[in-house]
Amino acid sequence: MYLTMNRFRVILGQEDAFEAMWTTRDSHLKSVPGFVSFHLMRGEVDGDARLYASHTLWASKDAFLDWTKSEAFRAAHKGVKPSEAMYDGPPVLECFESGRRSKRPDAGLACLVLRRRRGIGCSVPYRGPFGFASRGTGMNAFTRALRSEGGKGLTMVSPPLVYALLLLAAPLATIILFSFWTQNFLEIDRTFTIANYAEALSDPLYRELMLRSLRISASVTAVTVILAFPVAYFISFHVRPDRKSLWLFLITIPFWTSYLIRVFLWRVILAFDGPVNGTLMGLGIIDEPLTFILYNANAVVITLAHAFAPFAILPIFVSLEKIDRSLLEAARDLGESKAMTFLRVTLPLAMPGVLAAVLIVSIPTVGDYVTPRLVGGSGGTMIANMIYAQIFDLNDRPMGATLAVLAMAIVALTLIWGISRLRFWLWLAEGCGALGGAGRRIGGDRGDPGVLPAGARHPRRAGDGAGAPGAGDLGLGLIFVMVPKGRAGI
Amino acid sequence: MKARPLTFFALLYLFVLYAPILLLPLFAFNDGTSSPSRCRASR
Repeated sequence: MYLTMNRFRVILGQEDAFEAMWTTRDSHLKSVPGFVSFHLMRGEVDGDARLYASHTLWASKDAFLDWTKSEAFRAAHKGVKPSEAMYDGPPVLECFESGRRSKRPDAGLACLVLRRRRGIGCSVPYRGPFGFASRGTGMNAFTRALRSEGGKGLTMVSPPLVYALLLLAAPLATIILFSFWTQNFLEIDRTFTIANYAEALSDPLYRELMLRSLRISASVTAVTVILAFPVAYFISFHVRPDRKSLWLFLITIPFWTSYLIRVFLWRVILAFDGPVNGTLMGLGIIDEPLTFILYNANAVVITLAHAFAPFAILPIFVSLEKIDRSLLEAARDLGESKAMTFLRVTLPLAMPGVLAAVLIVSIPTVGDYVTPRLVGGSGGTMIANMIYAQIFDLNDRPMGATLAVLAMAIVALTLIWGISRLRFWLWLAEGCGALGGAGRRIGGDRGDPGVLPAGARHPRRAGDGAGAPGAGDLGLGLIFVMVPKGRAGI
Repeated sequence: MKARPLTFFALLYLFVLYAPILLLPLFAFNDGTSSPSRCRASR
């Protein structure tokens, strides 16, 4: 089989005249040897023209070539005068010859896998503009989906997607499923019920543990971020550039050891006869060991604040590093004090990193199990310990699953609520916009008045876009998902 | 380095970060039966 396709771009308004020209003229094709069929296809509007294609099917390429040399060809095109007012550009002729045949014998022309032939015979896989090769072509829907742009992207990400589904979605779905079942002594009753949720939400013990987990997580986040910010600021603004890497390296070294060992060592440090109490008693500051630093929530906060320190320092450091120093100079030149420059320029511009640190610290600490287990005592028990007790000690997996699902939902809702409260910081960042304009007028340190210095960006945009990618960007990504529409420009 | 208070704070913070692992040698070089009281795990 051989297919010739002529594509036309017919100016809007000329469609009727164009179609009339094709329907009224005698093409003499039916008498031509090797002619199979002819169709004029109307396409979509493309700009200020409508697409048309004439499809002529031939028994062979030779039949087509013979026709072009025949009297019938000359008769068919006799009197046809191309009108510039009708076409948006010259017609484009494309020829196709059949490749392999589909297994569907009744598919006719559509069952051909077509190869376009141009010039000296190069052939490329063909995708018609009118869905010609996609509908009823023998390719099933799955194949068509795979060949689409979305299908190709999906194929590319499918291995990690399957991995994620297996390791994340499947356990999560299992936990959710378990939460709607109940435990009957030795076996699980798979009758769907929300009794577990009713009990978990009404029992004051679970409520207290959940609130305590949130309080401890909030405290850990606050302590960690507040202590990490000056350190990150120091490294970014006061350490020589060639020593910044060394400082970051030194910060990460303590965390090369096991998390469990570090938590255990904090129990030793905070013990009644540990170094803290021993030092304070030796210096005469206290007469008897401090009791509020171990086996309670304070011990959990201290230990977790230590464990998550680098996760707060690094994103804040990245965010501070991205700040254009000329903006700070502009603020000082415009009369701001050091403190106000920090509050109105540095801090708002560092907020992406701070928010990333808040998210990175707060989310895992809510569900931490090891730390409250080792140093929390009864006063530091958190929801994860109760989940463990339900599943392993009390053999009530559905209730444990219910608490896990509730904890996850509450964490998500709390974070969404917390981020929605960030309008203050957004307002602060937007307030900095005027200063950013001043920075543009000054033109930075290049002696180029009126020109934005290279790399200088609007303060609200300085935290994203170009620059070294880091955890700040990760946090931003999370924030972009959670912050209401239109508020992602912090 | 400039900013002495910040430097002091950063060094102190670094010391706190290292505090747990500084205790590791005490455990590594004691067998737990003859160690001083500060090397025992808290009661």
